[in-house]
Amino acid sequence: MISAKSNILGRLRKGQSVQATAASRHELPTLPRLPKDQWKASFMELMSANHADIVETTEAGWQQALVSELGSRQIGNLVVASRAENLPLIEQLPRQLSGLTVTVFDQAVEAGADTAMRSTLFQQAEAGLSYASAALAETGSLALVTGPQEPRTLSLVPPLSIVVVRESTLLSGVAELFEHSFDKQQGQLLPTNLVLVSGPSKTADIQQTLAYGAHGPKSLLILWVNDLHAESVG
Amino acid sequence: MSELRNQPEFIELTEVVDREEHEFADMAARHFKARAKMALENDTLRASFRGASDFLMAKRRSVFPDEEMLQALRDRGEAARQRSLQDLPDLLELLEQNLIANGIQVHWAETAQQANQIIHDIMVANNARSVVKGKSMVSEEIELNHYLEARGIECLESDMGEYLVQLAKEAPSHIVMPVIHKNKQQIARLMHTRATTPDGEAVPYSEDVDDLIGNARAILRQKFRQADVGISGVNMAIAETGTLLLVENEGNGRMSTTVPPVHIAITGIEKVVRSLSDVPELLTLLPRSATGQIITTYVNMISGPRKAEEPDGPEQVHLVLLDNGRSKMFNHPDLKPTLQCIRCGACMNHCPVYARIGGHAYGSTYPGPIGQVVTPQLDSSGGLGVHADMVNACSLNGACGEACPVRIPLPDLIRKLRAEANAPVTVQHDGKPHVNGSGSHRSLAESLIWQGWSQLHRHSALYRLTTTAITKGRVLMPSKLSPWTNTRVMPKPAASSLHQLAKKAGVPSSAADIKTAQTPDATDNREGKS
Ligand code: SF4
Repeated sequence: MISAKSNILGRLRKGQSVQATAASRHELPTLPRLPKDQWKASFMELMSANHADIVETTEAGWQQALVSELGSRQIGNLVVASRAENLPLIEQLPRQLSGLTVTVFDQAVEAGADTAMRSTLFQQAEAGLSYASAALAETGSLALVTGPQEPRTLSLVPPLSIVVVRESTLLSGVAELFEHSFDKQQGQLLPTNLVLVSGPSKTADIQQTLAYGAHGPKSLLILWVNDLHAESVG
Repeated sequence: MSELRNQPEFIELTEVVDREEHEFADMAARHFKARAKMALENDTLRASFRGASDFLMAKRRSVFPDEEMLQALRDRGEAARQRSLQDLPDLLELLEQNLIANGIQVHWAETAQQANQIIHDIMVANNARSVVKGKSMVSEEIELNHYLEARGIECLESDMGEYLVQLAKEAPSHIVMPVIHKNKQQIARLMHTRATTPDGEAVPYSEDVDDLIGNARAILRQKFRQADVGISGVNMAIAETGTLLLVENEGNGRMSTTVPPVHIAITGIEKVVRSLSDVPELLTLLPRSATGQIITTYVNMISGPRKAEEPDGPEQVHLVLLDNGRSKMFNHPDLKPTLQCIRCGACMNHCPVYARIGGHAYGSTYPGPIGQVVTPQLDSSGGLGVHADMVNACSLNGACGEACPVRIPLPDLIRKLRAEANAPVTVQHDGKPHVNGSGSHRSLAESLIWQGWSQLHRHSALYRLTTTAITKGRVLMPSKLSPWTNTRVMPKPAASSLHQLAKKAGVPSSAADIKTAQTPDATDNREGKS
């Protein structure tokens, strides 16, 4: 409706003179950012408060940590994206854990049609494995950049969401994430879906009582890869 | 039909749930005053709202431990919203341009009717029969569910609160927590008697919140999987990047915007911000003010439909930009700050009137202080002619204005709307835009009283004469003045006025000083009708 657009914009242009001028960003004191030495502690504290499970591990050890978590949680079906990092897992995991099926998220989830992938996701999948592009200290959040290597539903539909994140990606907060990674002037474009995740899904809609596992994952497991201090920890 | 549904207990509970539905419908059909009275007489309802308000206020306090920081954040939040409004028409064009570049289709709707029609047309073009909805107050504002259901399309609310409200055949009573008017027992009865599991069975009775949520989860998962279209609201639209930002805790927003092949988002035209750099401060304020969270579980930023190489995500994304009176608010010299709102709900959580009468008494999509301000200004609401009583349900205590993260002067706006409702018809023609229904509640007696009041305070001789008459004639004052004294004690004038006492004590006073000191106040009071 072209006329709707021009009518709305016409009325708004008329009203622009009515505006009291807003303070510009620079006139106001800037908000302090969290000092770097507190980032990790802040992330851990906020994530734990939001019921995420965190396993600290290393570059060499995270796959083994994954195996033992899958084992102790008795996961029978894990969905992983088709990305290079997953190739060794796809091969080795079923060998290490009898009873584990690894499904590769490589077919399109067809629109409308109940395809094999869709029914695997909704019915069989017990866990999904994701990789975060960044961790945010001030809010305790993981940034998931979706795309072919990180399907949107991978971290959403399976009841357990497992996210691998490297300590070297830790940033103060969302402002820094945008400045660092999504500066349009630098040609850094947003993905079709950028998601910040700060815990398993939850609701307090019934008499303000918190319940986890509303519509998304019931649990969030973070594999924290301590890649900054490889030598001392390794 | 399962066994369970024939049990006498089940039938009994069904009757209770049906009765509650009728009570709601009965209340909704009445006028504001009757609704408020009914709400005040309902102890269960009052307990629910009191509990929720106390809980939400305490939660908010806990995430703003530093007063100075809070005020600095509010300054920045206010400025961010004002900057957006300053450039609103340009930002909307920029937004459209970048959304289109990202493959998102943009639609403009002047009215609720147009918005509904646009959405229905998209459904028809896609042969869509079923909709699953994430939370969207704008879709409530335009009564989208009714519109689509009348055209044979199933619309299912998926936010837990909204889902329960829909099961109960009621309306949300809060913009963030839709079902806070019901307690656990009521919800247990509701789920048991009205929900159907994916196997077609009744849900077993349970008051355990984890069970209740688990059952709703199982039912709704099936629906996400099958729905033809997902509909959602928008918390912020970012013009420079062509991005729709949504915040939520449950994951139903992500489901609705990710799983169905078509995603339609709807938002008011005021929700746009220029760039990503405007997001952090508003994102800091919104969840803290709304639910006392540092951040919501999900911040979902959508900048396009699925690309060819992507395995999932909707194939079409649409955005409907709704006016419905907003561009008129934009032209109003005093009421323009209404558009700064980020719909956090803090004003209602802090409102002593809302805590007592609850959301349904307002009889509008948006209750509480922001509801009082925004409702009469929406084209689809009927204006002040219908909603003037709501505007009067305020003690002007100021709690809402202090809680508002973007510093909307809510009490001022409420006063302005009272004055509009009571404005002389003549001022409607002075070229300034007026709220629909302006002057509809003008009463001759009331305006005469205020005129007299103003005269009294402008002329010292008249003022003294009147105070003397009142102090002398105090014994003649009636002891009852209904309806005022139904719930209050009749005030009794003092034996001597402050002036007389001051004179007796030898305090020097000059008539001229008193006159200049009092005139501005008196004028203010009259206009504000406070
Ligand atoms: S008016 Fe202010 S406090 Fe009320 S919902 Fe809007 S932003 Fe929140």
